[in-house]
Parts: sequence; structure tokens; C-alpha cells
Amino acid sequence: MEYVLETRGLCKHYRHFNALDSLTMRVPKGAIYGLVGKNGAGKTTLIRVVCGLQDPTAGSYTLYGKRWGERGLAQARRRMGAVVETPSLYPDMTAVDNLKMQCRVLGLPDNKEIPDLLKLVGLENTGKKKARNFSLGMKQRLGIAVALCGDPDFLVLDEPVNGLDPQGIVEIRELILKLNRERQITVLISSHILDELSKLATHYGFIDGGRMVREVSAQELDAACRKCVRAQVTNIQALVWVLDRLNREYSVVDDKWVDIYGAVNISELVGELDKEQCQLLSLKERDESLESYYINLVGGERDG
Amino acid sequence: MRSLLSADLYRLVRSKSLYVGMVCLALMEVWLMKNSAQGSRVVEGMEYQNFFSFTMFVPFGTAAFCGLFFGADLSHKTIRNKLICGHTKGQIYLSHTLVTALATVCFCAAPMGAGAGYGLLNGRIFTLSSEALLGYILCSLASSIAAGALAVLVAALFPNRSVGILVSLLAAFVLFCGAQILCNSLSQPETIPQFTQQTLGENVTIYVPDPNLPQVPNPDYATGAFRIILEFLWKFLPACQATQLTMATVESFGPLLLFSVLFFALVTLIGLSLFCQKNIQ
Repeated sequence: MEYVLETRGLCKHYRHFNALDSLTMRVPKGAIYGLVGKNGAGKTTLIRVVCGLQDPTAGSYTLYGKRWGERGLAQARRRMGAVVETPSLYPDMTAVDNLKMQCRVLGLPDNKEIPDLLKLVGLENTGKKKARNFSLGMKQRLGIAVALCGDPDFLVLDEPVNGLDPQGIVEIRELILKLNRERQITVLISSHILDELSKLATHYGFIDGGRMVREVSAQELDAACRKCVRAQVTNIQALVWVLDRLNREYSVVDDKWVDIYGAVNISELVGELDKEQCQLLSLKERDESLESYYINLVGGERDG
Repeated sequence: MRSLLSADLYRLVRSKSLYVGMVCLALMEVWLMKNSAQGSRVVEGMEYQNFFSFTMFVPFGTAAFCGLFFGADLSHKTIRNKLICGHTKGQIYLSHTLVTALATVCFCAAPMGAGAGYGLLNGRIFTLSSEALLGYILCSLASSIAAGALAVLVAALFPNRSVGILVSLLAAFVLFCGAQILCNSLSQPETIPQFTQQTLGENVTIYVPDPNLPQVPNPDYATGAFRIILEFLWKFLPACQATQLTMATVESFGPLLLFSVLFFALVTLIGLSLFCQKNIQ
């Protein structure tokens, strides 16, 4: 698999605080990579380091195969765009002027792509309205348009739906999906609004205390989060024999509990267990969401 | 670097602070020249009638401009857009320094134009030779650009725009006051006459210099290494150079130009090294 971004043992220390602690992650090409973590977990610091706003204290990262410190990294950076925390805009300029400014920064003075970009983010009718008078959603969309100047194929968005109203959240989500599907842009998106992230992401990275706790694909997460029934029996081996005989998918949690996937016919299960002199002690339906998966994961790691 | 300069120039020509600064400095120049006409130097050349006094005030304009222009990049976080697409902090700093130098040239040109216009309309002329006048103009530009480098450094270190402007203006003010103290200290005579007491009437006693007594050393006269340091600062600091230009007492233009270039290079190098280590939020 080709990776747009790879970090290896990335560390960022401030005076008495480790914001990133040997963080390793990989963002596959074409993915929408959701960076999940609570406030202060290190998401924004990671994004700042990857965007070149701050230098790592230790470790390294590779962007399009160019390692941090290599000469070619500046060229590789031209293939990325980012909105870090709040959109970076000149408030006394119009949407067009902000985009013209970014085109000049990129060395593209012909401004050909500006009308298309404004149309893409739905800001084509803002006229002479200054960016300072934009709503938060409009600013966010203009920030994305600025990030899209120069036709990048890697977009980094830090908390893009923070503070937006429901309509704004939907608009940003649709925009991100459109960019990923129609322009094949790889997106790294950080958020602590997990429900929103679950509607977008194809890959997840769970970050806590500056460390990458786990990286999973959406399919793996779906498998881990799918509905199941957790059964407790007097004889776990008997339950396993019965489930094998019934051709049911299951996973043994410990020596008392088994998770059984798919619909369960309780009468049939109890009858089969009875034949093996095994009693069913309890049944619990489980429906793990991304949120509970994350809490279990982070909590579990801490307990461990 | 070229694209960064192009972007910053695009912003510069749209910057209201540039035009407001130019107008303010032009009005200040006219006001100062008008007041000088009421003094005792009316008959002398225009260069002695506060024509080059703008060099004292341009650093204030540059400080405010830098705080607004460079400070906007930091406080609105638009500097991120430049870093993300591969420009280095060093390139960004240098681009701002060059744009500030250009703005400073505009800040100097506005009062020079206004002052010359006002002077000529009122029948005043320059009495200096054209070479000397050119030297004064070049030194004014160099001194102001050097002061601008300091304003860029201060603006680059403060992410909060208001704080940056305040500190930058304070720095300009401290240098301005320092230059006056330095001027006063260096203009002290080496010796002073002794005074004798004279009584006028019954209750009035006055002290007058006695020409019959030998002069005594002036305690305020700086000597030795301290004087060498003061003389160096008098030549090196832009505010001190501006004082010399305002009083039209520049003895030699070459060293003054050289010191301006040195000051600019030193401050820019310090600013570059500090800014490159800075974490951008």
C-alpha cells in the first residue's frame, strides 16, 4: 500500500510537557484518515508538526516519500493543503482576494482556478463581502478553498466542524466526501465528534497522551463494533462446541464469556447447551459504537 | 521566495496602513517645517529647517506598519498558509523585511516630497551642494530602513498584534529618547569655567563664570572607554543617525551609510535566527 504520510517515533516536547510521545502512524493514499482523540491528546500538535509549523523534537516523518529535513520536502509540501484549528484568512480581504493571495504564495499568479474553487465550496456569490463578515461555516469553507489552491492531493483538516451548526456540519461533510471521491484527495481529519467522523473516515488512528493507541481501517472497526450477544455459561468448552455445531460466528472473551455474532435463537441455544449439561447463566446484547470502542480502547490502555 | 515577495507586495499595495502612514508623515513634515520658519534660521537653507526631521518619526510609522502588516500574518495565522505549502520561516522573514524596507522608502518619500513642495512654495531653497543633498537623502533612507529592520524583529517575536505594535512603538520611543540623551552627553564640553559668587543688592546672590580662574574638568564629560562606546552608539544606532540628519550635522556620509547597513544586517540576522526557532501556533 502506498502511504502519503508516515511518522516514525515522532516526539514533540514543550518545556515540561510531552505533546507527542514516539507517535507512529501511516496515512494510506486515497483514504479519509480520522484522527480520534480527546482534547489535549496531541492531535493538533501532530498536525502542526506534519504541516511544518513546528519541528519535531525527535523522530521523523515522511511526506510523499520525502523525509523531514530532506531537500525535497518543501516540494512535497506543495502537494498538501491544510486548515489547522481556525481557518487562516485575511479578514479585510474578500474571498477572491484571499484566494488570489494564496495563489501568489504558491507562485500561481494567473488565478485561473479561483472561480472553480469558489463554486466548489459554495462561495461564488459572496461578492465584495469581507472575510471578517463571513459566518463561521463560510470561513471554514473559504479556509478549505485556500487549502485547495494549487490543486493539492493531500488535505489536512483539524477539527473542521468545530462550532458549526448542523447545516454547516453537513455541508463540510459533503464537501470532504466530494473532494475524496471526485478529486481523489487523501484527507487527514482530526475530530473529537466521533459520530461525525464515523460518517466519513475510511481509516482511524486513535491517539491518547501523545501516543498512537491503535490504527484500524473502517472495515476492521465495523467488525469490532458490530452487534453481538455476550453469553455467560457454566462450561465455556461446551458453548464453543455448540456454536461450532450451529455454524455460528463467535469470539471467546475469557473463560466465562463468549461474544456471538448475528441473530441468536435463544431457545435453540439453550436446548443445545442442555444436551452438553451446560447452563446459560446470562445473555447481554452489545452494540459497540465508535465512541464506546474509543473509550474502551483508551481506558483499557490506561488501565493496562 | 519570489512568490512570497509577490504575495506580500500584493498585500502592501492594498494596505491602508501604508497610505495612512505616508499621509501622517507628510503632514508632520509640513507642520515641522512651518514651525521652523518662525525660528531664527529662516534665512538658512531648507535642510536646516527641519527638512530631515522626518527621519526621527519614520521609525514610529514603520513600527506601527510592521505591527499591523507582519503582525496580521501572525495574529490571523495566515503565516500557516505560507509554511504549509513549503516556504521556510527564513524566507517569510526575509520577504517581510524587504517589503518593510520598501514601505520605509515610501514613508521617507512622502515627507520629503511634501516638505520640498511646501518649502519651494514658500520660496525656500536647499543651500547644500547636490552631492551633499544626495548624501543626506541616501543616509535618511538607510537609517530609516535600518530602524525598519528592528521593527520587523519586534513584530516577528510577538504573536499578538496589539502587543507587537505596542512593544515596537515603545522600542522606537526608547531609542528616540536614548538618542537625545546620547546627543546631550556627547555635546558636553570637556572643561567648564569656575563660578564666583556675586551679591546684587541685599538679598540677591548670583553665580557667574569667572574668566580669571582656570577652567575645571566637566564631571558630565564622558571619557575613556565609555566615551568610545557612546561615540560608537552615536554612529551605529538609527535613532542617533536620525538626530544627526535632523540637525544637518553629518560630517561624513560613508561611515553613516556603512553603520546603517551593518545595523540592518545584524538585526536581520538576529531576527532570522530567533524567528526560525519560534514555534508557530
